[in-house]
Amino acid sequence: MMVLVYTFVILFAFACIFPFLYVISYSVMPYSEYLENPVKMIPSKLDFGAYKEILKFPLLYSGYRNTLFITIVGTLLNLTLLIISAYPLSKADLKGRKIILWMILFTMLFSGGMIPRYYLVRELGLINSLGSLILPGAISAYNLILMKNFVGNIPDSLEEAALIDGANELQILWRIIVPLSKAAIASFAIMCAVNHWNSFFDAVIFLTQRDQWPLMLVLREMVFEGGAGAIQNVVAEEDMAQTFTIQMAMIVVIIVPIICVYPFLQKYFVTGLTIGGVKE
Amino acid sequence: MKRLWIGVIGVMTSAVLLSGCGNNGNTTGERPTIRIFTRVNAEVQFDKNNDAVKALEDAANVNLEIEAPPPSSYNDKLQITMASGDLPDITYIFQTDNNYDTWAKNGLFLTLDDKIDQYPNIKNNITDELWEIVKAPSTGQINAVPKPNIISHYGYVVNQKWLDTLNMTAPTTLDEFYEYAKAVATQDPDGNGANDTYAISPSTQNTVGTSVWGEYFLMSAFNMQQYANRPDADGQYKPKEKFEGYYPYLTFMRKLYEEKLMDPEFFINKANESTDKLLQNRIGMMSGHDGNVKGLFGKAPTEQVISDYSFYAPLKDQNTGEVIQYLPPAIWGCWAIAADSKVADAALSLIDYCNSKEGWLLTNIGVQGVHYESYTPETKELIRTEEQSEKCRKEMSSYTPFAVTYQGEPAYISLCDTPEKLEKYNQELERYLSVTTEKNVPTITSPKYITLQANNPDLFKKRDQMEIQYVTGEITLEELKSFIEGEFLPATAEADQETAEMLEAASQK
Repeated sequence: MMVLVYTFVILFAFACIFPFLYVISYSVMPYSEYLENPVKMIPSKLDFGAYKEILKFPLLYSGYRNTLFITIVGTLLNLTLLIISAYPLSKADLKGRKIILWMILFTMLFSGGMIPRYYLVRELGLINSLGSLILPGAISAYNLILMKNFVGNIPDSLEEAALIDGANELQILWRIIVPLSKAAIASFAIMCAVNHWNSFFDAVIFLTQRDQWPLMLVLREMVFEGGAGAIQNVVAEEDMAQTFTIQMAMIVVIIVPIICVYPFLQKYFVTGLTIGGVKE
Repeated sequence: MKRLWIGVIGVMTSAVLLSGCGNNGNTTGERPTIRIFTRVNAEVQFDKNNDAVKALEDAANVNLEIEAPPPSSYNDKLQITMASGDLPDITYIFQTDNNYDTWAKNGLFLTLDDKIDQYPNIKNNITDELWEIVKAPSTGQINAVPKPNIISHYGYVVNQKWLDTLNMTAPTTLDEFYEYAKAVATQDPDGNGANDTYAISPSTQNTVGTSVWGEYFLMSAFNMQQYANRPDADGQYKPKEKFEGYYPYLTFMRKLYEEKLMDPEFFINKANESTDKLLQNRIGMMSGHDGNVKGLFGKAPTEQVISDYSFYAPLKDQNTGEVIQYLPPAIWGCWAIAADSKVADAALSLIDYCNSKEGWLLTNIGVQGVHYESYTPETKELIRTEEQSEKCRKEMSSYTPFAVTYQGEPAYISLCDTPEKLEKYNQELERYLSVTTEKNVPTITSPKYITLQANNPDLFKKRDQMEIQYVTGEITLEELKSFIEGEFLPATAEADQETAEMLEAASQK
């Protein structure tokens, strides 16, 4: 029985790691060797020409710069707004709490759609700015409800004791609530950071300058073959598709930072799955 | 610690406020600022270091703000831009389809019928046939300036090395092609000891995936063409499905599939995958135009492309023995001017300049000493250093000019930047033209057909699906005919009638 379990786990682990091996292998394979045998995974010699090509691509650097900016600033904004919103909403005696919560819940269920969203962002003057990727999604209703539930589970007695000692609400939030919510905050930080790191579609809609493209959009344009249909049937002298090995090298360059950071943050991801689910 | 956090929040807030500052275009000095929305490959950068854009700005005395969304999402961004009402001054429209018609009908674009005469270079460089294409079907008015393009000469690209190995010549008839296909499938032309090669692997895309209607060089043997805007052998204008060669062509493709002379996995091909399969020595030939061999220069070593791949004319019509290619006017999209643009005249003047010889050369080959070393107009030989080629990749491409051709001729033969490549291209094109008769056909867009396609997408998907199913043997000819003649053609009858009438009228002009 144990043999079966181990076999299954090993096969599953291999299935998970195989895509990474595939991408890395083809990123260092000479393109001529790929053409010769497209299913050969182990290159006969290492060729870093694909990496040399993509390091010349200016959008790679601006993509990293923009994505780092969006991730850091966006995550800090998300967390700040999350904390200062969740704490008061966790108070049962807050007047109008139910109405506010219903309004928040309503936004989770219904949305105006893409065109109204575009109008809103345009009227706010955020078109063609990185703010369009940060501000509209500054508070996630789902995360807010989770955070509210988590904060609500912190014993009232701690707050009462702080009140007796002369602390005001802000001090209670800063000195009592936030330290006790570190695990939750870390989990939300990870989720928000990953969400910002993967930012793509909003960039397509709201950004007009190429040097503002985030990393995932740069990756998509390098890897995606430019769309089919009538456009491809027109005489296009320069093929918009990049050679396969360059595409694989691009993927490696973009996912390496996440892979390096993820092992240190894995426990927070796991914790994040159960946030708000613990009852006192 | 508290001060540190306050500092972090303060920096963050400032960063957010600063990031909210957008880049709003406005007129700088006396030069009008023109906003252009265009589709360009991802490598091109429109930043302040783009010398090609600077040169155009100086030459045309304008300031340019170029918005180039991700090419793979261009259509999405175009739709949103049109819906938002905040149109750029010049918008590149790659297809005059029902969306274009709707936008024109809604008055989003400037009508140009009474303005063309004011711009002599536009008038001089763009033919009447091209103007017909950009007329909105609903209004009959001209709402964009066409982007004249080079003519594509359609034939096939073949692995010349395999032909030599098989001791065969490039096929010119259907029978010769069939013999070639059998040889490729059974005589191991790549010498790897396995019969794992095929003649062709279609990869043109349609509504449901891969279509068999991209093998133009084969279709010509059945008097079928890429463009149906011409009469059948009986002189009648009719839809493709009523052409004499429609069922015989599909039946021939079915035969190739049954006998394993065609790649059995063709129906899962992505767009242009046949190019990769040709380079991977999995297929012997692919349908293509004269530009496709040039395209191989970017994917395989030059010497290999020159020696191993050749471009030939399509197969002869089985009945007439002729090689005829019907070509629509060569257009690559068009440039629409926003109806509410405050710089409409400046925008048209810019496009007019780019249709002059000087502007056309500037936008196609750049500035001498910066983007190229030397240029010989008579031979179209363009010499670039490695640094200049690198600079060109970042600053311009064949997608960027307002006009690719001047008086029907391109500025240079792109991707043929050495004498050897240019010689190969010219030799093969000359060989092609010596055996092929090219005839022009109009591009007609029937309003009823546009509406039909928009309202009945499933009908066309079902047709495409059933054609593939017939080729792969899943359904019989009777089942296909039952759908085409019992369901498809009756549904399209009115639109087909209108198309035929419009083609008849166009042919008499």
